Amino acid sequence: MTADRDRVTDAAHAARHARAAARPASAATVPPASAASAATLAAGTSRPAATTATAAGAKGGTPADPTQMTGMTPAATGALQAALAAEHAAVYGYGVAGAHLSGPQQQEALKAWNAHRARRDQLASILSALGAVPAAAAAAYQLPFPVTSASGAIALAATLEDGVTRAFIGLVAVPDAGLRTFGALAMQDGAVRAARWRDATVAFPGLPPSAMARRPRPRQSGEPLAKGHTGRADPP
Amino acid sequence: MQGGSTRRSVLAASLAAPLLAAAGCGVPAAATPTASPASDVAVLRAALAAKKDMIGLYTAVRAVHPELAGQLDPLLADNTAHLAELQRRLIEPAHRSFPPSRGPTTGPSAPEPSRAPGYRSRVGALAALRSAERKSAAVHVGQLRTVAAPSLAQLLASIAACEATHVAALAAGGKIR
Repeated sequence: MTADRDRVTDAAHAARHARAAARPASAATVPPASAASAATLAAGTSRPAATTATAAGAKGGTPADPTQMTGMTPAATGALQAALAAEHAAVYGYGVAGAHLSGPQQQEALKAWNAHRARRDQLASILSALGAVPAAAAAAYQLPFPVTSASGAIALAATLEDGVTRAFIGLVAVPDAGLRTFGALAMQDGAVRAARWRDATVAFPGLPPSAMARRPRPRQSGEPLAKGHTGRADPP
Repeated sequence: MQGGSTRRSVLAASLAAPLLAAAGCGVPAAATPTASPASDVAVLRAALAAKKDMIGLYTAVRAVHPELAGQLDPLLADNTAHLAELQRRLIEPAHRSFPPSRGPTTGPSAPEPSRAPGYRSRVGALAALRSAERKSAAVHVGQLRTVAAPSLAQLLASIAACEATHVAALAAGGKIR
């Protein structure tokens, strides 16, 4: 346990030397690619990820044979890579957060850090089995905001979990039922951790507001119609 | 070198196989063999009915235990938002009407609080809500196997994730941290 705490502290020490600049996450859409960009703390230094599932896996119809796995399209592999990138970012970010926490909160951060490391390794193994090269962690990540206190560390931890949850919702969009289930369960882990850090729940973890309903409202008197809108129903 | 590469591939595959199985990826079955827009509508209807029951359950518990309002209202608001979004996704033909959900006080899944001994105690009521949320999350994850539309799958997964946070919140007596 001490060794683990030391690793957290070491990671945080390294992270302090990383450039900490605000980088607003934008998750206007829910496809895997945009989920990935929202999940990673910074993409600048990360190595390009391979997105093809070609034949390095075992032959003979084993589960690891990508040609036998329905839905293992480049999109599915890309979603896995996006989730992996988010886990890399979370592992790094928890190193930063853990250094600013103490007592039970630091223990909680350590627990989350280990959970993300385990998920990272699991994703890397799956990708390798599919014949893809797992995306490597970046040398450093830009933090979404400077972290200098326990409250900042808690906010960062919640943000990290949001990013991971957003990344895994990309996996839920692929056709493969197994990957969908895997992604959905991972979303639950991230959402629960985020809720614990915030001490509050959100109605739609992982979904950006843009994915939700935009209810039509009555047009105000004198308000112009939207461009290209005739005000009449489209013909059938 | 070629042989080494092959050995590494086999080793990686053998290591990954249990992980894939644990992740639900072990069976390379057809992704959604029976999925169709029609089945999506059925899933959506079922989710709507279940969500109405869930809201009814919260409302009933809240009526019996008004002291729990502070703890339950945020979770009830989440569930109400789920219902609204599910309803928005369901577009019924004009000549068909959505069958009414079983009322929370008449359906078997949500007995009337005064007739359900477990609801009279605060602990029992919270346990019932926790159980309902956990069950609902599991059902939604199961529905992912039959849903065709990716956006509906994502919505169900998100709702299930929210329900998982509710389970944690209800277990923690309102203070989720």
